[in-house]
Amino acid sequence: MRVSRDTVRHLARLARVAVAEEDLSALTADLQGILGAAERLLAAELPEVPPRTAPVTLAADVARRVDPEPLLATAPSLRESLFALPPAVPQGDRDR
Amino acid sequence: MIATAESARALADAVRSGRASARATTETARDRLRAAHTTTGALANLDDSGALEAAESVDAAVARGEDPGPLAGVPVVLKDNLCQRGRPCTCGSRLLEGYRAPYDAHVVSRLRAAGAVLLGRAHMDEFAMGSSTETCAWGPVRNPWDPSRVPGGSSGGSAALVAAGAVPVALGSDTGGSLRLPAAFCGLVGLNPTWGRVSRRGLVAFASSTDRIGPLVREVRDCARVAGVLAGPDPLDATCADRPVPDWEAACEQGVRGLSIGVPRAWLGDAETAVTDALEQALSALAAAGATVRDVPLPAPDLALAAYYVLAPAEASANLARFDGIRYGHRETDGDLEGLYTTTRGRGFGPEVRRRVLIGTWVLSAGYGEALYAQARRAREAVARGLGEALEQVDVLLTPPAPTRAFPLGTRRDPLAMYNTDRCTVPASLAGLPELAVPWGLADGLPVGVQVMARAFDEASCFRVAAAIEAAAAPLSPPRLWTAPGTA
Repeated sequence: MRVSRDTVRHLARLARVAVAEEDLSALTADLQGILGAAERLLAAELPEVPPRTAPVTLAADVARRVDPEPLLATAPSLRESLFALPPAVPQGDRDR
Repeated sequence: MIATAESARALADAVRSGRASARATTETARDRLRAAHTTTGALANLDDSGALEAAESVDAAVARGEDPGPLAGVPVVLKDNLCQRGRPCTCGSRLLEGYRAPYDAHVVSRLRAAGAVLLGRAHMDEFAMGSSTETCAWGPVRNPWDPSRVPGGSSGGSAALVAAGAVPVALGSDTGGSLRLPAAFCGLVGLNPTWGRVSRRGLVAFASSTDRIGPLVREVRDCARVAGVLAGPDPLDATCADRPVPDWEAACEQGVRGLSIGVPRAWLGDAETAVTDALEQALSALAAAGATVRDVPLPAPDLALAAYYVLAPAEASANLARFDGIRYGHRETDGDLEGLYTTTRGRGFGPEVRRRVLIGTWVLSAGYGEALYAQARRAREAVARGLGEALEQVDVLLTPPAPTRAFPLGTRRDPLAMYNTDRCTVPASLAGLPELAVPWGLADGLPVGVQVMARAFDEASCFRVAAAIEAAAAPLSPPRLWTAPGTA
């Protein structure tokens, strides 16, 4: 398996993490090394097992009502009681 | 155990009986924390006024004839990924700069209820991703035994402040070794409890299937007391088991006669001589104390390490998706919504977090990455099964926490070299088993320890063995950056 600069650009796009062009080479080499080392897993003969969701039996997930104000207060930008965001669709696309 | 240090138990008992004031204890710890920070860089922030207020209420309770609890007046430092209402919680990341937690983590509530005084917060590897506390956005933390060396990670700030004598107790978290490695590198006792033993509500998640919270302290019995405060069910954490919590302080008094101890010698691999010598000496001491010692045929932990470094980044990439500049912390605006996401995360995450998020994104993608993830999952089950079978033959396993003692800052820049630091800690992490690191001694002035792994929910056996090791080991002379009285 070979990690290319394009692979890293694609992963960065999927993960929504901006990566500067000058960082691409080093990051590509790092990912190549790390994934290359992980590939030893593919050579191991391992029996199929059901997915593990938790090492202990999970308790019932109890929902509760909370005061939203302290949670909203952590947001970088609010408009009344809503998280404020820039447009999801760029201005030019909206006008078309 | 570090010689001349006061224990958390002695402090609490003095406060409970009115022989010491929590306020004076807090002021002393505050001054020592400031001193320790100037040499180690370990402190994220102090809560002077909040701590003094808590201490005064402990003193007032004692004056009224009430018992403030088993940690009465004990100053505690929290790793900076545990939510504490109204306090900054950065996880060592620029991305959470300015964030203040809106609620207390479950363990924080338990500490308060036990009379502890929350005095400050400690630096850590960014989002707990690291084995040396060098990935913290505010610079590396230094080891009190030798400030040119790392304290271990990711709970290195917590460990450095306890090892420097500033506070007797700090909390950390452990995903692949983040309590056990700093304990080993700083000459401390650190417990990674069974997965499900301690509620994680209010711990900022890294890899949820292995994340745990535990204490870093200087003495085994202090570890037992603090762990007893932290453990127990939490109806608001569905992953926290509803099981009774044994008296672990009593377990420390039981001795090891009749216990069987297994040694997976294949794990020693490339460990340095000081590390293997400490293990052999600890084994001899345990045999002399009445335990039986035998080798167990577990393979070297290479597969466990490879599986961990696929599974943990996968979970991290999912857990860290929430840090998008919308609801918490730092925000960078750059055009539209997607620009906000990518710029905030690109500038907010440091290099190690970025590497792991991209690795996780890769292994959760369809195709080749998916095959790697599925195989890592199978490897995890094989590791858990192997440990389970070994722990049917013996009561505990004794191994080194790390292949080396604390290493010099800046010497493991290759991510794979850094990841290899975790080779002896990731197996118990993957299997959900408890593991307790305890110091054995000093080699060339640096601490060297061992760790005890037991069956799920059998921390009591960890404490029995660790107490016997502590009793047999010579107390450590205080480290170079010691801030308490009795400096060597």
